[in-house]
Amino acid sequence: MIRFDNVSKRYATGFEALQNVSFEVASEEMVFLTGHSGAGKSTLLKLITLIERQTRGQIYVNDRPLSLIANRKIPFHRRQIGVVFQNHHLLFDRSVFDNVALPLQVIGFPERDIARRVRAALDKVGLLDKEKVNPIALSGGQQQRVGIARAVVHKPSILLADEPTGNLDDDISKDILHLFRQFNHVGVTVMIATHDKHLLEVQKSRNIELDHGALVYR
Amino acid sequence: MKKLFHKAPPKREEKGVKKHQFTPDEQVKSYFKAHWRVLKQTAGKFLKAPLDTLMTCSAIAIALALPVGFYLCLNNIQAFGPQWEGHTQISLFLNKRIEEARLGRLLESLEYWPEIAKVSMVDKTQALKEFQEVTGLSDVLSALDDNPLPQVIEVMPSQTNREPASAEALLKRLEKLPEVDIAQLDLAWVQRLSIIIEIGHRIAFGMMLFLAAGVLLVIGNTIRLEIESRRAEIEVAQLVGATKAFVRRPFLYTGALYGFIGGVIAMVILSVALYYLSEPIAELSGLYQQQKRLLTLSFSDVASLLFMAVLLGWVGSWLSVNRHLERLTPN
Repeated sequence: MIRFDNVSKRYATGFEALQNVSFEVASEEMVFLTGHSGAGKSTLLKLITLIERQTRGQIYVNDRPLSLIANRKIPFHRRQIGVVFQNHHLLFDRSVFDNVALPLQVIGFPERDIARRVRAALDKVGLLDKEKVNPIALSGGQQQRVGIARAVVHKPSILLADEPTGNLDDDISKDILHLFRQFNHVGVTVMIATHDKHLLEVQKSRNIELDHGALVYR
Repeated sequence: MKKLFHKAPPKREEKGVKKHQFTPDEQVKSYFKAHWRVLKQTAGKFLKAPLDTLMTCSAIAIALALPVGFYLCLNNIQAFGPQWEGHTQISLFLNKRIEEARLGRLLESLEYWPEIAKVSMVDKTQALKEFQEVTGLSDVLSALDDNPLPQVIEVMPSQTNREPASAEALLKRLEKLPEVDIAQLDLAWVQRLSIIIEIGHRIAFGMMLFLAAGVLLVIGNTIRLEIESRRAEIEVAQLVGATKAFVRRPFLYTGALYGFIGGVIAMVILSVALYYLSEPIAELSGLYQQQKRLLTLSFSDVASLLFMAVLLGWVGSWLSVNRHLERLTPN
């Protein structure tokens, strides 16, 4: 599903964010990406979503080498990936419903499909009754749930999360991770970047660890 | 008995990923719906801040109305043009003490000059009547016993003698005739006027370029602020797979709508100005014995003004969006 072949990323500043990273995430697998802050977790996720391009090596997503995806095709690549951010990136100028609907509008779903799918996604994260609310009025945990609903509403095959529990307390973090696991159970490949070791003890998934841009083998 | 029809086996719910396939028809529909939605959203945004919208649109309207109004005025002045064209004419003001017979001979002899195409007498009485009408001095003039106007002969030079230099030479010869008091070439002011109109046209054209650039800048700047304020939205949209076209669309509509409303306001401004000018212009036309011709915006004027306005709005926002999206796009 996701394969890294000797991938390196050097930024224009000369900073070597990733060095010869190779790993593979199987379809429908759930893995954690860990490491200290600055270890290269975010860079790795940016490479998968083509926010950045690798300087060496090759990345395959759904067996497609990313270096062959032209810039103007990037939007279509991103549509098969759902992304959850630490600071959830919600838009406060619109309702919860409209936030979650955004990826579907982007793809061009018909209006009634949008309503149906948005409600289904909100139902899954337990926020169906909040669809008309402005997300600014929600708690941190609820906001993150809206972020997750937005990430999965278009049924991506891959779900990436960058420190999804970074700002949340333990109980809520557990709930959020439980949600990810549920999506994984219905066949979504899930990759969660976190530096929260405590979470890992709870979760019994495979762990890809980075240290100063290099993979740590155990 | 054989089953003729049987249901297709129930499709197994595929785990997780279910690809949504759009039919071409659906795609076209959702494409137009997306456009319609953006247009509605843009209009809604305009209505939310009507004063801001009005101010921006008015700036655009003024920039549009100025050169267009100027152009219309020039075109109207030029409408007198056909009369003037090729109207190189020499007026001979004759000595007042000249007798009828001599006048006749003079006319006849002038007819034979090769440099002259046509000779015609201006009727003294008719001229006086017109003079009275125009100046409103009828009371004063009718108090005079005698017609104070001199006899005038109008001489039209032949085709080859209409150029300024040769017309000038002809004028010199005619001036020397003993019957002639004053000979006057009407060429100079005709030429001057046509040059002035030409200069006016060029000024109008230059103004149009400058003010079109002004419209582009006004719209570009407005769109830049709009992009700034919707930065978060743009970033999120791009991350969930929005194409550049999708991101650009609302801004292009915003620009085009600014242009359109600006164009409409410009037309209102022009109509008011033209209405205000219509009376003196009608009078002027009357003086020149022209058919009454008012400055009006024709349908094609309106259409092309609106088209230009929308186009400028569209192009202005296109330039702005492209410049600023580049910064927000990776790579």
